[in-house]
Amino acid sequence: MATRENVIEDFGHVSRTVGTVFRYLLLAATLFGIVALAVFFIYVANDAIQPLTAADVTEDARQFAATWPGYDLDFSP
Amino acid sequence: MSTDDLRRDLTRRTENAPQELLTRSFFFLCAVLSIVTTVSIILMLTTEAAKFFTITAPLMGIEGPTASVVDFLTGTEWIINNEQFGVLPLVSATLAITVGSAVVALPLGVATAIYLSEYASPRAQQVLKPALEVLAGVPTVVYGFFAVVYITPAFRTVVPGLGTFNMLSASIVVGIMIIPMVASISEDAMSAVPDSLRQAGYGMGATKFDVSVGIVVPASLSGIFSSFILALSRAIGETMAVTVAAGSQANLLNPLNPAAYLEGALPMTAAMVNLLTGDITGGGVAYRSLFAIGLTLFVITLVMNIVSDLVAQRYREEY
Repeated sequence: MATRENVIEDFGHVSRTVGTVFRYLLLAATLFGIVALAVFFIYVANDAIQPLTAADVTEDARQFAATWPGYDLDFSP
Repeated sequence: MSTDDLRRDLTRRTENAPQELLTRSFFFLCAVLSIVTTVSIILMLTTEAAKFFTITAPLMGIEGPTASVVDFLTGTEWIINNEQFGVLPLVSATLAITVGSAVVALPLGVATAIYLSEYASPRAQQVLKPALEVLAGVPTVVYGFFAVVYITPAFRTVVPGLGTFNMLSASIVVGIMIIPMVASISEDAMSAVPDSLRQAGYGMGATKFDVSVGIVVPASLSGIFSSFILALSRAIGETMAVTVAAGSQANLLNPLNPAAYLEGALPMTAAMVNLLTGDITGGGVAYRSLFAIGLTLFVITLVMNIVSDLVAQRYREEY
């Protein structure tokens, strides 16, 4: 009875790419919920506090004052 | 202390001592109390629901309008004012929420569990685990608010016709909400896999990817399935997020049709909230329908929990 022999010449090659991609996919999945929640809270904080509106008001006041050149409309804080 | 005293101390039977009896009685009462509470809830739901159905209402001494069991279970219209109490639109909306949230939470939860169990350093675990728990700690009404105020407008840039209340946003927030449940239970199951199995894999030349996907996940399958069922039970029972975000119009949906998620619908829990906060009169048929919906919800979650136990037993690995 003939026997089959598989001779392995070397250890072969194992790609690291799949493992690396998998690792970062897992990390992204882990961070998804946390980041999503953080983004929502940033939006909420922005809508609640509106930190940029003070500058807008000052700018609007300055433009308004410019339309009345003869009057002393000083809106500076 | 003499030898006799020592022997007496060591051989004294303490199981019937007053302290032991008191402690045992206290814990027994706690256990009985939880069982009595559960049984009372079931009894109350059943008796009140019995007043709603035509077949059982006379036995409960109820006269006036009632609903047929068949109409309730197979009806496709839920219109309180017309006394049409078909629960299918509510069940379909609940199932749509469950399927949608499962699409979000199950892959992300399992991926998170694999990362925390196999890849994350102890320091990363210390940061990520509490951060994930925060997701479960946010009040559900806040998630509903996020869905209506931020997620729906964001989707509307892609899908212009998207309604303010829709199943897509509601499913996504419920999915985000149940990620920690899937992740933590699955991670516990993966951490319980013996290290010897991993070492055997590495010894055979497997990479970390091979060990994670080919050894750890199959070995912890019962825990992973249990986490799925428990998380989906939570999604089914979720109330405030869907009440805020899903809408209040009872539509019969196909949960497997992606286009159905662009519409609003009325899940069972939201229907109960709407009934309670609406202007229905106590004792009427609409009021009693609350308990019929509650009983349906209870049966669905009970069946899911039983299935969870069966699946866990079927795939349990003993090490």
